[in-house]
Amino acid sequence: MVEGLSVTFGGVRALDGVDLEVTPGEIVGLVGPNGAGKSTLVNCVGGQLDADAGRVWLDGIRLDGLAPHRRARLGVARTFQRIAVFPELTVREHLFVALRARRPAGTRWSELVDRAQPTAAEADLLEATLERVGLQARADAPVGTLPLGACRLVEIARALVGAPRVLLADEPSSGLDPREAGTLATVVRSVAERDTGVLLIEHDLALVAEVCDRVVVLDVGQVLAQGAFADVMADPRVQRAYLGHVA
Amino acid sequence: MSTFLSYAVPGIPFGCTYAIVAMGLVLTYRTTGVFNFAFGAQAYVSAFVYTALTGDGVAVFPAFLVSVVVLAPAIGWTLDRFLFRRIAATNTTAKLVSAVAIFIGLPELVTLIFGSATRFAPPTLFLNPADVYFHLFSTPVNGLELETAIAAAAAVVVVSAVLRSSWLGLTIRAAVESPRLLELEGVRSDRVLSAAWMGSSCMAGLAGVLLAPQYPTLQFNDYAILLVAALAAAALGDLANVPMALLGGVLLGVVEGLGSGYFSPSSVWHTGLLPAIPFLVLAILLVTRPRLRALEDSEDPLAGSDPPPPPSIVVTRGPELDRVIRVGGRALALGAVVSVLTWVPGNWAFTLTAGLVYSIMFLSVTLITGMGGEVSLCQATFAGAGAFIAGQLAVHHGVPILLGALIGAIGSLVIGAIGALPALRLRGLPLALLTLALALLADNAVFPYSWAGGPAGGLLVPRPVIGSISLATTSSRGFFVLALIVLVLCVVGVKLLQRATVGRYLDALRASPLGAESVGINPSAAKVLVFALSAGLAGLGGALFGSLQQSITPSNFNYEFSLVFVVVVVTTGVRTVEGAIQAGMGFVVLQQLLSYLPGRWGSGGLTIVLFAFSALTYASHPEGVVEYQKRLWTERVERLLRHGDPPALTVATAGPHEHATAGSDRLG
Repeated sequence: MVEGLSVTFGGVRALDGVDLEVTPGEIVGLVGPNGAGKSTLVNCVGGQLDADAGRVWLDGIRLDGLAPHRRARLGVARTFQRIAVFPELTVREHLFVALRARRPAGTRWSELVDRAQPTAAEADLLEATLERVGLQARADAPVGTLPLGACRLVEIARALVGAPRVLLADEPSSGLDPREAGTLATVVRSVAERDTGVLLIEHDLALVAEVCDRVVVLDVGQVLAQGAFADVMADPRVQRAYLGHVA
Repeated sequence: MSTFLSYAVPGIPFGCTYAIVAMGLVLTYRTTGVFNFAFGAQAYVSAFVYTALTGDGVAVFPAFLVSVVVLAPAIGWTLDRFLFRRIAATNTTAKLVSAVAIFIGLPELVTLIFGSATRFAPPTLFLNPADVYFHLFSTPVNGLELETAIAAAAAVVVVSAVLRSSWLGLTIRAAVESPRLLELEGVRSDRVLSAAWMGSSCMAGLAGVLLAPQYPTLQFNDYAILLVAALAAAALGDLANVPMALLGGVLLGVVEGLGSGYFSPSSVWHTGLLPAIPFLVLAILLVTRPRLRALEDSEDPLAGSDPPPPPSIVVTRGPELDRVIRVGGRALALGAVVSVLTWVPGNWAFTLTAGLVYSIMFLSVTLITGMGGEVSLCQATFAGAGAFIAGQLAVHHGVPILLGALIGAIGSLVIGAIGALPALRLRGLPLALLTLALALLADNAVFPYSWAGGPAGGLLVPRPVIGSISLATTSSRGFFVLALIVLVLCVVGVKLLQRATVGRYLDALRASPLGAESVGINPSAAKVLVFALSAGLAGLGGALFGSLQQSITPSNFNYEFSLVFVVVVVTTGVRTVEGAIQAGMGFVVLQQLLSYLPGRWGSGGLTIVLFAFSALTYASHPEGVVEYQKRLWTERVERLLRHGDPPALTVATAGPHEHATAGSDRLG
């Protein structure tokens, strides 16, 4: 999916020739110390940032150079480390907006004057998505009135609603209580079961161990190690990067 | 070489004043996040007081002390203490609109208090303008030029010494990052910010006093240009780099000096290009400098802790009260229409018709600012485009004015769509500055030509003739009906868009462009759409305005009106269609009522002052004053209702409180 990606900020190489692949239905954990370049990588895939070198592919289509909304319509969905929700819209409206906007065909002229009502099929899909993240009870509350944990779930639901090809989740569990984190793990697994690839950036290693098929460790912009969680964590280089010494 | 210098040197005093204001702009912007448009007005006020005092025989030095050392920082302190400090750091619109309100309100206030008598150039500070002090490569340098250069250098030395060495400088630089984090460290960041405001306001005052002797008479317009030139200079330093901003200011002055020397006074370059140089530079910089685009990305880690605005009261009020208010509002509107068509005197019928036309133009602000989330400072320019297209077509090509108005609206729509293209990657402050630059470009380089803005005496726009009905008499009630129909159509259109899927997209984009893009919403398409529709509405309103007034000149649509538009609509309530209509009617009714006042109080300046100062409450009530009052009254009434008869909320209980309900109706 990602080939030889490099990004430089000023003199700092945030990403230095990173190769990474997420196959459909696979959950890949992306871990590494702060400043390793994890969010930078996600921003390059999502289109929020342009890489200096390297390519980004999705199902054989080149994504790099495309605007973020184009990538979203091709099937890239993401959440943000600092949440980016729309406070005045309700949870249901979030999902509705995402569902409509993500259609590859784009906006129809009639949607300038329609009543913004979901069709029966769309309404079913919205309801199903609300149920998956457990937000039915809060579906009609403006998101600005919800606590942080619920906002994270709204972001995930918003990312999922159009059945994306790949989900990029940037520290989705930060700010979640244990029960919400449990919902998150279930949701992430259910996403993968529907053939969507997941790239999960996480500091919560227990969650990574629980849900990820494969783990990639990033440090100072380079892939340090990758493989099964236990193997990777046993790698002395990874322990040095994380703990400063070998355990 | 000597010709070159003889043209360049006279530009230096202008360049130095630009540089001083640019430094003040950068300083306040970096410390407080406020881009203070008001510096133009503050410079004018200091210049005005200095001119008035020296004109009354006060010696130069005390006059300088009063106007620059005492008054200017006092204004800065007041602005900070009572206005800008109360605005949330992330609320770009509130900061921008408040500064614009001061910019237009302060000079009007000065005129109201002291009268508009012509004031001639005051004496210079310490050097004699007529004396030549030395020769630069055989080019004489006079006192005026030397004085501003010395004063600018002194200001730079003082500011950089403070910023670099002292504790105050350190805390100011910390406040640049996050005033709230600074407070967590135990520093009173409010005092730091006050100091920054007072310092930069002092610079604005100094620039004003230095600039005053360079023009034969004191005119606010020269200070508006001073501000824009300083904006361009500050933009040259990416609004962050003080030395670059200083250099930019001086360069701009010198380039203007060279231009007025080399271009012959009768050439197109001299009349069209020269006055537009600062705006052109500003526009080009905004579009091309990547760092200016990134201005809106907040770096304050605590900025996210501000609560979201409360939902509109129309959504939250009880169904019974809602019905009473809706029915009452419709009755009131119907009553007003019937009154205008029957017994209201001619001049008031005209005023209310103008109110309808203003409402159409103000709806364009609702669209772009309330729905699109961007502040545009060129709506009057779009209105002018519509008015002049319609007028020119009617006058020179015999096109019926109503058809012309439609063509004007479409023309303006196209201009809006094209105008949105350079703005695609901008939002917030840089976008507002770009629209201001475009408005000033049109004012200086397009509208003055007779093919555009009509002959000097005004373009005589006809009134419509529909079949055998002519709406030609001045007080024609027929025009009222026409304007009403057009307004209703526009309102229906905007409401449809608000409730449509695309309306939801706009809500999403306004709240979080990052999040909206990530779900597939195309921000560029949305921006072009909003700009185009908004410009079309403004153009339609402008064309009707021209036909109503029957004679228009470019001064009917200059940039100041754009600023007034934004201030008036945002003050009243920019988020709702009702807000635009209330703003339109309120604006003209207030103006007509105040015209009964004697002397200069009735001249129209007071309306602007009143709106400008009510805009200052916008800081505490970002939903708009009227919207805020609606909430207040609705809550009061609801409390009364509940108090009187808690179990059953019936219309009958609303009976005794009809007075209060009617009160909120008038406001809502």
